[in-house]
Amino acid sequence: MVPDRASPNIEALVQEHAAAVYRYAYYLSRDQTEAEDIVQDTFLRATEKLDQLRRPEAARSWLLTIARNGFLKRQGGREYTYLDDNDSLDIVAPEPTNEEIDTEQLSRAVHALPEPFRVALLMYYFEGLSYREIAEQLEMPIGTVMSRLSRAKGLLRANLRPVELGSNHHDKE
Amino acid sequence: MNQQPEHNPELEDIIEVCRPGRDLPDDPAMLLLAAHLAGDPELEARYECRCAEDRAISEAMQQAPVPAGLEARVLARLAEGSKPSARRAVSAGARTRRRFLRGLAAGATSAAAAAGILWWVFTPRESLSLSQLAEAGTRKFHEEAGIFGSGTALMPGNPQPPQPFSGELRHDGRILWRESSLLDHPAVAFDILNRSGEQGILYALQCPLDRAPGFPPRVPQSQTSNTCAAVWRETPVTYVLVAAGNVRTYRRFLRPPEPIA
Repeated sequence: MVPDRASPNIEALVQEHAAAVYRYAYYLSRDQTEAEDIVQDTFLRATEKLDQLRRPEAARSWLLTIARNGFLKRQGGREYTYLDDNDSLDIVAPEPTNEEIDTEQLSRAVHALPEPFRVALLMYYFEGLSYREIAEQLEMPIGTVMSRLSRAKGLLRANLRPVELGSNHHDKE
Repeated sequence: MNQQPEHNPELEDIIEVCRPGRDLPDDPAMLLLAAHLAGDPELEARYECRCAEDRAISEAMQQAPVPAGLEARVLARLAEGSKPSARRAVSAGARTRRRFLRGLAAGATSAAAAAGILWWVFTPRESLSLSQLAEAGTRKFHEEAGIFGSGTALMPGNPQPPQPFSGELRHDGRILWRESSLLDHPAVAFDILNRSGEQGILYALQCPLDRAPGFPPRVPQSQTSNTCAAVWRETPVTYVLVAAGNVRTYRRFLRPPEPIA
């Protein structure tokens, strides 16, 4: 009898990925308690569906997807209803900086984003998805995702701006 | 097709979202981007800058702090979560027996708690000072960091604590209570986690105290580099609030002053 492919056990998944799932859930939910609840739900669901994980190297993205879906389900369809992509959210996006980014400031900057922008942005940065993958997973037109991501990044940059001003980044010329 | 890159919104979006490695080289947007980059060094420099910024943000996101003991808590709750299926298989008789035993245990616990409180109420003790309580609360706060949030959620339907929660604090998040002690006095520890992330423990106890304000002061009586502590009394209960953070964070636990009529 040929042995089954080595499937990861849930304990190993928790040890390896709980921190990443928590970070993702915290960025999404903006609340430490809710983030921990999302982590818990994620691993409970993962336990139930562990046989669906065929490639152990895909465990991280699989878990992050479960976490994101769990978060969106908690929102009960509330997201995407209050923000029209044509709404005016024009900002003057400052030029990017390659300086080291403070995680606390980054967290605040991400949390300040409207939810639909935050979700798209986190799928891009945290999950590492392409704009096409984001469009597929959110079932949205590609053009909408592109403009949403672009504006989300501009807003993020603007939200991070006060930190740069406070830390000698402004006199590069 | 002689477009100025700076005024082409589609190109601006592409610069923001298309990344080599993430998007395929034959992706239409990548092809368009490559065509523009080839003849525009300034645009190319801007694009590289955006790519570097993306890498820095992605890395910073992976460094966000994680609460201590997360993995152990998740595993413990998973172990609990695996029980329901086993529970369903338990016979009705066993369920009834267990319900009876649980009721008996709850009754015994309540009786013991009541006896403890009565013993304490009728035992003469020396009066405590505000600073003694504030400092003891701060020490206890650090000692109990590992069990923060391990109690019973304060909500209707759940077992209620032997001492009430303060009416002088605002709370918009989660409160869990558990039994604790402060300077040898039995106390209830309310672990408070507000929606905006502030954490604190409110100790509620009955103890001899000479003088104490009737509500939490705006300026805490005791401060360390990372905590603020305040003591007040809502007769007959004495409260010690220890908040993680500075005075500004501490004040977020207080109910805003009501307007003077």
